[in-house]
Amino acid sequence: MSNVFIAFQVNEESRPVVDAILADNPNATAVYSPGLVKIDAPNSLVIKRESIEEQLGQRYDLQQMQVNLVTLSGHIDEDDDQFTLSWNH
Amino acid sequence: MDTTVKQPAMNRNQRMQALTRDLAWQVRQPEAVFPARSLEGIRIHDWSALRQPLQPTLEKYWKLQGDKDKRLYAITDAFAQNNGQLGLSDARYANAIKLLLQAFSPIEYSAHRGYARVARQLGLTDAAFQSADHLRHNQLEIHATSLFNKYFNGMHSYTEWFDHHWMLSVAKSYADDLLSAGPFEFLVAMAVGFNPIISNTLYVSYMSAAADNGDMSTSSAGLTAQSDKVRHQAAGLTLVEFLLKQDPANLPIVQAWIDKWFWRSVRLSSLVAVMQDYMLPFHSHSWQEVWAMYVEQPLQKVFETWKPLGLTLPSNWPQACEQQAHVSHQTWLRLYRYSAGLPLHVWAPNAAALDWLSKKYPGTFDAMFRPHMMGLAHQIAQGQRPQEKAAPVLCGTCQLPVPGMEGSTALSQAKTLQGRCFCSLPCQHIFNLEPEKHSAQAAYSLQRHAWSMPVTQSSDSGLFDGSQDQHNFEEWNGGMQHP
Repeated sequence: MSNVFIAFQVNEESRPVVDAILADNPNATAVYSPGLVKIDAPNSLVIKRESIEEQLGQRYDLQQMQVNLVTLSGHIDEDDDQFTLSWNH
Repeated sequence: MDTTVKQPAMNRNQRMQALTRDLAWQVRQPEAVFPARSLEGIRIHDWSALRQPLQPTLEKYWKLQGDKDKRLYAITDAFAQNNGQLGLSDARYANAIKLLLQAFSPIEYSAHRGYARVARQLGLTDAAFQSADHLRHNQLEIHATSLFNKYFNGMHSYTEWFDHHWMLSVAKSYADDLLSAGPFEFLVAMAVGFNPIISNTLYVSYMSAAADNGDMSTSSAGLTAQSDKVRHQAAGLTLVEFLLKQDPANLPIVQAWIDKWFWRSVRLSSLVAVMQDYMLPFHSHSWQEVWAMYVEQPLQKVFETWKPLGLTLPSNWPQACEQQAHVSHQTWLRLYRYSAGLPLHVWAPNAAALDWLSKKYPGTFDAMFRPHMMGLAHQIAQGQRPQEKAAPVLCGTCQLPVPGMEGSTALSQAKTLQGRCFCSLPCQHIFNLEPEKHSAQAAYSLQRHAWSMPVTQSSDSGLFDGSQDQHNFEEWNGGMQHP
């Protein structure tokens, strides 16, 4: 088992995304460096559009995530409702 | 009137297919339209099997990119209006920006040209997006650093230095090798070389540390460039898998490219290593930590998933990993030694920096490098300044100085060898795969020895102590020195 990770710029746009990820992935941990937040999770991590919308209070398109995305590690699986990173290929 | 039937909305993948690939022309004679597809021995039977994760439609792409730039320029404008350059941790930090602009921005421009060529040669639309992205990165970096060019030396002639200065040969030869590679090699080089090793370190860890050192301008530019690179990285890794799955004949070709470009990227990353460990007055992660977190661990995992496809870790992987405890220190000592002719400043690391390096490199730093670093401080205290202006002998492949080959005797020996002098066995191996190509680069490098001095003004070079940069920064800050 190894970690997948995803990192974002730290700003008001990414905050609800980070909050949604931590809510939906209990084993995920977030580490903050200046301007950057890196979220590690064992084996897989899921990002749900609905959870972000709950945090944000507005409609959200998962592709908007790319505006503040910095890096990631893991195999990507995506559709309109969720974005998953995993090492289960 | 017929009852209208509501069509179910298409999901993302269906939309992508309908709006992009389904609109594509049927090419009846692909060999005539895309002759370069068969240039390198790569065999593709079904192009439609190629997935490109994170790829938006053109309409979405412009919106996303526009959003990114609006956000970035608000930050860089505010930085400029607020005289952000006065808030840098120290004027020594500016030398990291110089190296970014001199070495890496031109590589972004080369990547832009390379992807544009590949888009046409392979008929790969996604490469056209990547070409636009890299042009964006080149321009962002120029824009972000242009502010610093008003206040610090060592940036004014960066394109000239890239083309003519021996210190930047490592970057130029890398860019030229990319541009003269075939289209599939170019894509693999970016996927397994430039993106995992340079982008994932320089544009992630370093840019975060830049923010910590008061540079919101370059930091924001770098992090937003990285948002595109994430897309490229995902696309690149998917492409490698695609090549392997298309035909077994592709395996040895792709493996050889992986071995080559991993190594070349590692050698280039020595410049990132020295920025991370020596040019950040407020320290962050060490280069060794950055390497472990952002290169070694992720790539190990990726290659594990590729094992069933027949790929293995690059043959030079152990040697590359072993270097990472030493490379930043060796590079700093080298920059210091030749600083009289380089377009940036150097200094002796202070006591706090030495202690940080000892802590981050337990055992190796104190045993191998601390005495040398303390020697630099001693020299400066004695009034000695680096004098050497003759360039060292450069490796015939990666163009980094060959250890132990200093002085005029070595130089004349190297001229006899016509550039066939190497820093390592992997570099020699790469040279021997395409000797004509690398000979041309090596011969060009031998000429640079005569060019380096006229290109650099004395105010750009030498010790930070007593430099115009140091004097100006102190004056602007009311004569106060930052810690």
